[in-house]
Amino acid sequence: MKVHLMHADADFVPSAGDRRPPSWAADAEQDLELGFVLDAAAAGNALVWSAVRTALLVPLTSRAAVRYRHEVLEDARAHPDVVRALYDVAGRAIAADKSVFSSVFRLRPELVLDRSLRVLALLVDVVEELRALVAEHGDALRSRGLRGFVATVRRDLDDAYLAELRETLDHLARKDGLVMSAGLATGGATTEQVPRLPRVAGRSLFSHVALRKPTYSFTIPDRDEAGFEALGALRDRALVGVAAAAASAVDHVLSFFVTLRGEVAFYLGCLALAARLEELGMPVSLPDVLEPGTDTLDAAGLYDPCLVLRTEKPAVPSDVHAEGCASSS
Amino acid sequence: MRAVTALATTLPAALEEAGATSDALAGLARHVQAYVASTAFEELRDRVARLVEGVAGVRVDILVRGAKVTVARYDGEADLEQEVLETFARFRQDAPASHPRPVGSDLGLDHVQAAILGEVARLYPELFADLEGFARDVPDVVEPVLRRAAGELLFYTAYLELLRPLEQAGLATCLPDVTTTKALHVRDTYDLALARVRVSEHKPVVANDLELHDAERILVVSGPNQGGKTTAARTFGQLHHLAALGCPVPGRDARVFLADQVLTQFDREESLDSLEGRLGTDLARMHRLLDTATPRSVVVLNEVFSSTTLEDARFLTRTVLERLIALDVLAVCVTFIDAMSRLGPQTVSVVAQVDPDDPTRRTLRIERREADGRAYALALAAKHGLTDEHLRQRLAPGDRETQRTEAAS
Repeated sequence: MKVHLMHADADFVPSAGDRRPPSWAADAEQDLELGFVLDAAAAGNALVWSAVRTALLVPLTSRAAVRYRHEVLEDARAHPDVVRALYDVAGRAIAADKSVFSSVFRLRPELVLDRSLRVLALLVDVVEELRALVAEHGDALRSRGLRGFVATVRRDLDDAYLAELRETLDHLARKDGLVMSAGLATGGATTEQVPRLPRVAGRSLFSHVALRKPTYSFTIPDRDEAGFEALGALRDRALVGVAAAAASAVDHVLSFFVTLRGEVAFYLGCLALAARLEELGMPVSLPDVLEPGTDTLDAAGLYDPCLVLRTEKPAVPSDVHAEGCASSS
Repeated sequence: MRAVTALATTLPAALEEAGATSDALAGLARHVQAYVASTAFEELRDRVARLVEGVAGVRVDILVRGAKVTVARYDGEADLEQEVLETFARFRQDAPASHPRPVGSDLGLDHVQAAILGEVARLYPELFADLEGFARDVPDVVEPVLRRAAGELLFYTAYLELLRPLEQAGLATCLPDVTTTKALHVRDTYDLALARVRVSEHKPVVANDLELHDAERILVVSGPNQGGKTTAARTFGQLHHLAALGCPVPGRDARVFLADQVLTQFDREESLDSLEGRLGTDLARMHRLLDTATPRSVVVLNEVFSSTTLEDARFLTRTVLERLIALDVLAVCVTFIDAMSRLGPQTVSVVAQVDPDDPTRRTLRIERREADGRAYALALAAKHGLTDEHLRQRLAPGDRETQRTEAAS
């Protein structure tokens, strides 16, 4: 499930600009005084700051790519609350993970699984919120980027899938027993313990695990500590894979929301910047980008946004009409 | 099964390649080939293969609910881990990495596992009946001759392992010429046990030659303390013992007499266990030793009767040695009583040497030499300026003035 709000066919990582800025970054930031732009866009939010900066440092190279972003921006200008809501939903998912205690010490698989399950339960709720948001506002969006995202959510997070999710979590959380398959090792002990999704018989409240008949059982007596330890070792052996899978599941869901938040952050930054400039009485508009190689710059009412942001006063705009300037090489 | 088949196929070729000539190994090769070709082996192999396959095919479900464990046949249920991974795969943002399931070492057969095994047996009655039948019919899967061979071959490999560090350190070992003639000839020999310790500490080992020929029977070893006398005695005993076992011995060019037993008496610490006191114990032991000895025995005596007076020791040692001469046994006797080395043509004196330039330094070389206990004492005295001549000079009346002046300066 891809987010793809910044690029039609690639992911956007807000921190990429921090990690490996291009060689001209420092000069450009200084000469163009981009700091003011970034601060206005971010308004104190470090993620938005990184997202806008990274976008600035990785310029697009085709009209199509620019047009793609413009469309999303237009949607954002028209429905700022939707964009804000998307950002908030993603944030709630990340908070859910942080809210559940996680020990730095290596824990028994059972405890790792327990933790993952609790986070997953919270995350599934956030997924429902996302679905609701998309259901309510999805049709109003026009840009290819956001319509694509809406279609993805509707297709990949449909009712059937949500039911499957909840069922899987129920199985994992099942308190009425762990089923594993096993073979025999040469010493006679069990080997290759694989946790299984058990067949269930009976209806809802009375449902129970159903094994193939005949079945044979024994019970470990109460005071048999060594026995319980041995049983624990067997359970851990089976659970270790499941615990790892559940932890991976948490990672996967989180990565989706982290990506979503990172891309939406850019647009929030743009909205904030535009709002600030308009607040100071200066207009903001989306430029018409020409084919690469076309030597033309044609603008009316051009001004230095950094000057405006710095002085917090309107600036005197200028018009520029330049055509066919041969580029000196 | 596989090991035995492999042995049958590879052993003859390996022996041929190594140019092996021993009857025993050739016989072993023939035996194992015949065994592998036999119908009994083939049947055994097939039976084992069926059982192994059967056990490998066992697949059960184990349900753990609280303290209750239920076992049933595996019913094709889905892999839970895979289910979870697949369900959440769509959220993944980057390329999927493969997650190999961590494989731990097998659990031991604790009583819970044993209980599970018991239930598994009820789920697979035929297989376990076969297993039970097999255990009854074939109490030992390993053919008895091969089992013995394995144990006996271990003796050879273990001994050769023992010698390896010594050979690597440049010490000689050889298969001795074991004879029924009473004589001893070996060059560059050493105490095997001591050498192993020295080599492991990267320290040098001093080797010596030992020789008894013609009428000679008894090496009488004397010399300063810590000079290597006891080591020489041990070496003498080891040579005969190891040669009689058919083992390689320390040294080169070895010709060793085949002893029927190696009898030893090394002086022991006094113990309250015996009420006789040390001399009494020593005498009792010696009595037993002499009773046990035959003309084909080898005797090793180290500083016996050293707990009593010189007179008694001389008398007792002489008596013992005369008995040994009468028995015509090969022997080594470490003693400080030099007269023992001159009892007859059967006794040979060897002396532990010191460095002539520094008599306090032992060379650890044992050489045929007249035993003169005074030689060492003399050397020491000379070193400290206390010989008769020195003292005479220092105490001469004529030079008293000079002495006093010399002493004062």
